[in-house]
Amino acid sequence: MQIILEAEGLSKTYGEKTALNALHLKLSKGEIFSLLGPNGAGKSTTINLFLGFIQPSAGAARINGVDASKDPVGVKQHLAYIPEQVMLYQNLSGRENLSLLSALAGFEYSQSALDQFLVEAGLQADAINKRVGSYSKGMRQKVGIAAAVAKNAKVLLLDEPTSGLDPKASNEFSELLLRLSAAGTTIFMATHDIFRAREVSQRIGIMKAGSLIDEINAAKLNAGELEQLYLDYMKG
Amino acid sequence: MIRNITQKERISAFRDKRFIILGSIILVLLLTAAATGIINYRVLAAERKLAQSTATENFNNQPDRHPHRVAHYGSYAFRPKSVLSFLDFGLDSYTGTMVYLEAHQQNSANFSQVQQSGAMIRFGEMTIAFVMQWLIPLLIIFLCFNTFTLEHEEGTLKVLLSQGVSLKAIAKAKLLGYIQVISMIVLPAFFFVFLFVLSINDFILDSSLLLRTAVFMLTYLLYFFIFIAGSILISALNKHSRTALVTLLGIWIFSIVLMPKALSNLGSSLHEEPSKAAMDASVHEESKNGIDGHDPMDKRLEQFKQGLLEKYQVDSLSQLPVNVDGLIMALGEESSSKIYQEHFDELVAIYDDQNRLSIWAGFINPYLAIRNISMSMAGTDFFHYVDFLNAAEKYRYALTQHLNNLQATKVAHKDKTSRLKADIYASYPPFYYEGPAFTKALANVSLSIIALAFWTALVYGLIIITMNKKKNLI
Amino acid sequence: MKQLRILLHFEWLNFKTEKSLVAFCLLMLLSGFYGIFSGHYELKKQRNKIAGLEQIYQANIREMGEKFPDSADAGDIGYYHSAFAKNHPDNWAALAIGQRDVSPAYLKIRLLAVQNQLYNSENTNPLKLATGSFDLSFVMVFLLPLFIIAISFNLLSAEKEQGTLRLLLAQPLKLSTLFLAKIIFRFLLIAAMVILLSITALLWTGAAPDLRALYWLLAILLYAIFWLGTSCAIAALQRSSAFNAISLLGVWLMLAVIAPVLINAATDISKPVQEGLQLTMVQREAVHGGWDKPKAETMDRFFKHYPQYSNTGSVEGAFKWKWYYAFQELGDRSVETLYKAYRQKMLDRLSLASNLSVVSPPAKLQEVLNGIAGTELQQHLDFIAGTKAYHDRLKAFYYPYLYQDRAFQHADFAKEPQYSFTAAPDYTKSASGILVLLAANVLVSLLAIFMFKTNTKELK
Repeated sequence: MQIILEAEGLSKTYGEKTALNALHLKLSKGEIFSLLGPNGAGKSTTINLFLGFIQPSAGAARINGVDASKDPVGVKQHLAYIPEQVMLYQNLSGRENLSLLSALAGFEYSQSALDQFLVEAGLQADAINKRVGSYSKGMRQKVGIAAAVAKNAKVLLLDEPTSGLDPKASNEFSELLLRLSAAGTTIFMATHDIFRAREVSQRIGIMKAGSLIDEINAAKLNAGELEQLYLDYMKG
Repeated sequence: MIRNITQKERISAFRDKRFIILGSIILVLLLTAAATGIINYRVLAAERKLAQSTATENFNNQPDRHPHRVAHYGSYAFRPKSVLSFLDFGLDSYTGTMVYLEAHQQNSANFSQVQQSGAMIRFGEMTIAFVMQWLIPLLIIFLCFNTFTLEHEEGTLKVLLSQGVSLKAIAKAKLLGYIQVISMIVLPAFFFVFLFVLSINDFILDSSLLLRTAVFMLTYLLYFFIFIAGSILISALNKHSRTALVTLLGIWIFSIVLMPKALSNLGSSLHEEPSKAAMDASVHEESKNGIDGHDPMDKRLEQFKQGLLEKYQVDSLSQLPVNVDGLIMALGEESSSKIYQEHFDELVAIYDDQNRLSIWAGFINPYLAIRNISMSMAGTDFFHYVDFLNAAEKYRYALTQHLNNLQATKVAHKDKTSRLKADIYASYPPFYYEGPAFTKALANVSLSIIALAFWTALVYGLIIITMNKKKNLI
Repeated sequence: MKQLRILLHFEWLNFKTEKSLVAFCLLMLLSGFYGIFSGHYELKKQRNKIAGLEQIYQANIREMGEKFPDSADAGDIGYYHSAFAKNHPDNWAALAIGQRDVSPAYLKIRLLAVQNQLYNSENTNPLKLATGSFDLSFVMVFLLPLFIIAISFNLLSAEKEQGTLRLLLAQPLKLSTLFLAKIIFRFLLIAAMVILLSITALLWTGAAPDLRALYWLLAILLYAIFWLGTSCAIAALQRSSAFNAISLLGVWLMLAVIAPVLINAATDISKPVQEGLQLTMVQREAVHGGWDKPKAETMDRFFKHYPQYSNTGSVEGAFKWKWYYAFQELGDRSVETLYKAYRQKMLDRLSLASNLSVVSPPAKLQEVLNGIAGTELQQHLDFIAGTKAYHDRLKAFYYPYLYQDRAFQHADFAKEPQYSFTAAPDYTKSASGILVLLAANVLVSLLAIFMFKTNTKELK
């Protein structure tokens, strides 16, 4: 099995405080992995480390074999990132924003190709040429997904993707993730949404105070059991 | 509740390290300004006092001379530094310090500080007024720009409003809080300034000095109030701290850096003043040929001489009981001085036209109003300068006519060589100048004071109206 | 390189839609145009005043003709006639008025003792002088930095605050590339403004596009880079937009206002100038004392300087002009050392202020621009020295009439020496000022790079 995303003893400390403690993780091609945990558990730190935005105190974060701390620019050839709030240039249209992001990744597409990506990501055709300032959160997220597809990313890093989405948009989003996964994209998602996590992921990690304390096969538990397990961990 | 908000603003300002640092910098600059102002005052005042007394001494100790010689030897008027000039140099560095007073001609006031300096002086001068006009408003902006926007951004405004306080009450409380904070910096500074004022005047209490200082301080308080209230208003009208700050800084730059220069240059472009050479040539021409060229001096002199002969019933000028030379000289001096004064008044009127724009603009820019009042109270504005020039000319005229009179009465006709005893000249009082009275200075800036009062009412009114009008509170 | 091009393209797209940025540019351009107009107008006023002198001069000659129809004693002419030393501005002076508005553009000169004729002032409005000229140099020295700050204070913080930075950096893009693109874009914008305004100024005022234009642009562009570098150094701290705005305005205030003001105070306190007052008073005593000294003594002293006239006729008895001009001349000579000391004091003040101004790039730029335009105190002192030399030429012209007892014919006015001065640009001073600006640039660039290196290892 081909390992696409790998954390090896990945740690991050800020002075005395440990934000992430020796994380070991391996995701294979097409796998969807969800990380559950309260605020401050280290989920965002993990994502920032894979993005190369911050330097690990120990260990390594690798994507497609590229160490994020050693080659923070090269690693981004292989990944796409969707923050909780996909913020785009408000004065530019969805298409223009996508054009900028994919061009920076080295892909210069024709206008029709750009539109194609946006429509496939689920954006209504009439919104493509409108300024992003008028977009909803879900619409902006779709531009983010389109950018991920357009740069042919092997890994998708998602930070709280479903928070603030209405149930319909959230459902559409889950389906989109499953489609991307089926096409071979590895997806790493930090979330609070136990229900969605169980629905789309193969594996679920539970994180507390910087440590990964359990890894669960999502197929083995139903939503209620998973929630109970999570709450038990948080108590103890 | 209101008191609590006021207290909160005061406490958080003094817990803000950046505010403390900025406030201290400003206090240090204020003290530096006071120190340099006082040194500058002492150096210049002593220099001019010495120059004036040397001039007087020279005049009193001159050898025996013919009166007309003395009229050409002349005298000097040195402009004394006004005691409060250390608060605000105003135009002092840009105005001549010395006028050479002699018969027949009115000389320019020379040796201004700016003519003896490089262009660096044009960047401004370190005075208390500079710190108060430029820097304290910035401190105020820094203190208040996010007073409402931060409450927005952090959601605390909702909490306050949900406690049943009105927006208007919050604004008033904030206003009060910031007034207290700024007072804690400004009032001690004013106290020191007051001590300096007393010490520089050798602790002699002088009502005009006290009144000038009082108006100076009171109008600055209004100026600061305008900035505090204005900043709070802008903060309330903006959603983000960033935009509120940029707006306020933009206003500061526009009203303090950009607009005064633009207006004063525009005024000077609109009203062109004649050159000194052209003015002197006109005075010369008009004294020679009469104002409209129909009344030549030669003809007038002829008539004058004829009149004298008839009056004293004599045949020739040498038989007159008085020396006609002195009388003729006096006649010429009278006529040319009158014509000069007319031209000078015209020139001053042109300058007033040039400056009018900047003075009226006090109604759109409080900086221009306070600048005007501040200079006036310090005795360093245009009005005070012109008053000095007029006093110098008045002295010149009186001295010249006194000497002409001596010639008419003590020297014989056509006698150009006899000398009068020096003590005759020494008995003439030296040039002594005291600036305009407080009330005159005050009246001269009444428009600026009205402008400042207008601004005070305007910003306060706007806060109340805005807060009452705001239906959607957040 | 390709990424840079893409980013520049998008900076441009963004810029076009950002109303506040476009407004800043317009405001800057408007101020620039007004500065050009206003400087040009100020110069026009000075030229009008100079142009009016010819008429006054001719009227005076006509009056002399009426007074002395055939021929005259040159002494009467020396007393009643005056000529003008003219300080013609170069067209470049419109771009940086400098000290031209405080110094007279001409001096009215008679044959009498010259020392009290050199420091006369022109009619000026002190409030206008104190407020200062709104010329193009003001726009460049004061407003250009504010413009640069306005378009770059939120260089990075805006991206952070609107949340686009993380998304951008999730692309294979270095923060330094993004930074560079933003700097290059802004520099191009600033350079375009500076060049546009400068070219407009040259066309409008007719200033010659010679070496001075090169110095002018070089100095201003270096200055612009200095402020851009400062903005970058602050931006690299990755703090909020409000923090950046306040810090940058603080730096501006420190360098453009407070430092020059303190330098000025230091100059005044350490080198007060009293020599001018002394000079006139001492000279007056010397000149008027001439009346009371024995005539022979005066003439002997005079002949020491002018042995060629020592066989002139006696001055004893009735008043003779040649004796009068002799003691006028001696009066001037008696204060020659004071004159030199006074001039030296002003030069000392100038060089002290200039040396201290290395800490303030704005003051330095002003000095460079005034040097290019030839409008500093230095150039006025040159004019004064030139006028003094002109007075010597007048003496050389009139003395033979006086001391060889020749009548002055009215037609001789045509041969009277004239004097027009136009200041040459001060290339040495400008060049050394440009070097200082260059050094400031190196310093701030190193600082910016250091700040960037130490603060952007991790995204905050």
